Amino acid sequence: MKGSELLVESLKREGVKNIFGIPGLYNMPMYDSFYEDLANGEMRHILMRHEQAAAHAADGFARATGIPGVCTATSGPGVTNLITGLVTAYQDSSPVVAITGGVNRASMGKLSFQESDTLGVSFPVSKYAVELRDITEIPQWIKNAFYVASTGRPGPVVVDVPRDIQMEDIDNVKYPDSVSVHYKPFRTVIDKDALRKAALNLLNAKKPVILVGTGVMWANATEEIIKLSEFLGCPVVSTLPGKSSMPADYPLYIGPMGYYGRAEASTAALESDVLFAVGARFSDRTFTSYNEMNDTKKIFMSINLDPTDFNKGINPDVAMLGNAKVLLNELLNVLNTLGRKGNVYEWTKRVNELKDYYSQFSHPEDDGHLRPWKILKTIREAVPRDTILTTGVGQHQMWAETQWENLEPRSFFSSTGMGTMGFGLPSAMGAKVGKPDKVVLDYDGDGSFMMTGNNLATAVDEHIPVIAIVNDNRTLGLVRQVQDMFQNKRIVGVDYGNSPNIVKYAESFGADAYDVHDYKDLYEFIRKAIKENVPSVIRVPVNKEELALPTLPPGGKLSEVIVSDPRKGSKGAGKL
Amino acid sequence: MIREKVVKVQGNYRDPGLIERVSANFRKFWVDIKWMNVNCDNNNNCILYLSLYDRYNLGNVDLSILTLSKMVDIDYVEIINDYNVKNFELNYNNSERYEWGEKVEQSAWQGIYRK
Ligand SMILES: Cc1ncc(C[n+]2csc(CCOP(=O)(O)OP(=O)(O)O)c2C)c(N)n1
Ligand SMILES: [Mg+2]
Repeated sequence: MKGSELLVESLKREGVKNIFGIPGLYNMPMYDSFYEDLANGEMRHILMRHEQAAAHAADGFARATGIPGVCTATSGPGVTNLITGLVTAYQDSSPVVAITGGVNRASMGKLSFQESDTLGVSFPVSKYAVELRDITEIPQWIKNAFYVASTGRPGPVVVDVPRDIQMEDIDNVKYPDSVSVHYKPFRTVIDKDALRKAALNLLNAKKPVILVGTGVMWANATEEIIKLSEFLGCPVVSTLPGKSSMPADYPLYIGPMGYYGRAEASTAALESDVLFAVGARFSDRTFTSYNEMNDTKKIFMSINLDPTDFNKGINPDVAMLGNAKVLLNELLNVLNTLGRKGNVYEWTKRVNELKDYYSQFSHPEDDGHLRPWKILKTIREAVPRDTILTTGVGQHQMWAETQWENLEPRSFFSSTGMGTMGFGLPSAMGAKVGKPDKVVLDYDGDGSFMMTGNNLATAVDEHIPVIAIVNDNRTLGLVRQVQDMFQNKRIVGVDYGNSPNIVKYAESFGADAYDVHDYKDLYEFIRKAIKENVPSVIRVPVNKEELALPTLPPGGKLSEVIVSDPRKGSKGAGKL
Repeated sequence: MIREKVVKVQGNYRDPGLIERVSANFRKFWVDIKWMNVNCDNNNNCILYLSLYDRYNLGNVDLSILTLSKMVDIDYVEIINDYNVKNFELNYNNSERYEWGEKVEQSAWQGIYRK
């Protein structure tokens, strides 16, 4: 058996069916070894048009399915192209396994053709990276890679296999029964005292808020969050990526808080007397100022898998370490035995008041242009409940943050930690490969879309019928808005000219393309695209002057939120 | 806040990338390494002693230690509270020198720098 065959067999033993990638000299032996598997349908290779997109696709696959996505690249430019995708998965804790081909062992370090120091460039962007030394290591390290990627805080793992190892022969193959790596997934600690304290704090709270992060999605704990929230009558806010943990139509869910989050959600979090974070690190995007939060003197509580998150900016008064589902169930048991309910009548009234107050700002009137909130509302009306939506990065992403209503867990994916433009289309393709029965939309910006839009070719060739809805504002809108609002309107280096025509661009790939003029168009084109079931691009013109609101001044506090267009004379401050 | 801490790290050695990752961990937090002493045995167990220094007074030393402790291949990190370091001593009297890819003849440098 050849090393490359052993590699493919080991991947199959991990249940791998889909590989997103691009071949080159150094991973070609592996391609040769899955030739038959592709032919007989046991595996599928999706030939991406750029390795960054291969990593994003694997990431989208992982987020949609909950199991690691796999990508592959050749040494040198293939590996360096992967890097942006890997760091994106790393920041958002998504399990990706990257198999890279390396130069021959004897050539290493000699500036040989396409040598790029795979380990050196991978270490800082991955949870782990390993370069195999010997053919016998293949099965063990493939097993280890999937284990490391998918346990604890999930993340990307790179396995670099030198070409000559793939070409070698081995007779007696031993497949490992268990992992062997110096690594421990984080523990779940059932600390009765902490649980009781948490329960009492929640019951005694006058103004409790639950803050949900992606940890809830990865632990499949949405149901437990809802049980807890219902039991206490407690409002729920989320981080931006934490949107993927909460159905938007759950009545006590206020929405995402943070830098571009909903003002009512951030305000509720600020005003709360007990803030209970579950599966959410207290990131600088969610709590834009730790001083501001600490000054409220509220009780912070946290359930989190990664103990180091208890030491960054906020030190929770009650810290519970472990899996959100397990610990929430324990907490619910304690609450049940305590046998009383919280009293949050006044708080509920206040939260409703906040919601009412801020809703006047979030639905601005018609101004002759298509307005993002209405675009997103129209999309919502046109697609099934379990539709998956991914985004690029920019204003459109922030509009999706505040206005898109994802109605099921694991159905909203965005590059939130890294903010990687170009994530939208390939991650949607990965999600569609993982969940072929769901409608998958990429809600994108023109700038972001153009970064990985060439992968439309893959969507067409491989029949991956995703629908990209591109907000065409002919600008890098989010950067422009910061210049407009906070840099004295010195608009520089952001506006595009007329190139390209996005409809013609999409058509050139063989995708169906639509040009929207009004909301009715948008609705009908989405329905048509779903029915036709082919890759489609829907261009939606958006005014480049439109702002993504709420926002904060750069480096601002949540209480400095700006909710209405200051250029039109601020009506009402951000505060209620 | 104590700005200097000496730690002992036990890690699993696959390749020198272990040391690279340990140093990179501190670099990312802007924590300086004043000195380091590394010993690896035949079973791939490596013991690293490092003196960490918070040159910029950022208060990151503790978090950088915690973060290192959750890295794949790192078994544990120990903060040594009562250290007392004497010079890690290496004795020799024969060496060869290279500069910019070239060997420098002994006669050219011996007696100039060497005490
Ligand atoms: C790869 C990358 N380069 C640059 C940025 C900085 N950046 C953040 S948002 C943004 C504008 C994005 O423009 P577009 O995709 O058209 O979205 P819009 O804001 O117009 O909705 C830029 C350039 C980034 N996040 N990612
Ligand atoms: Mg744009």
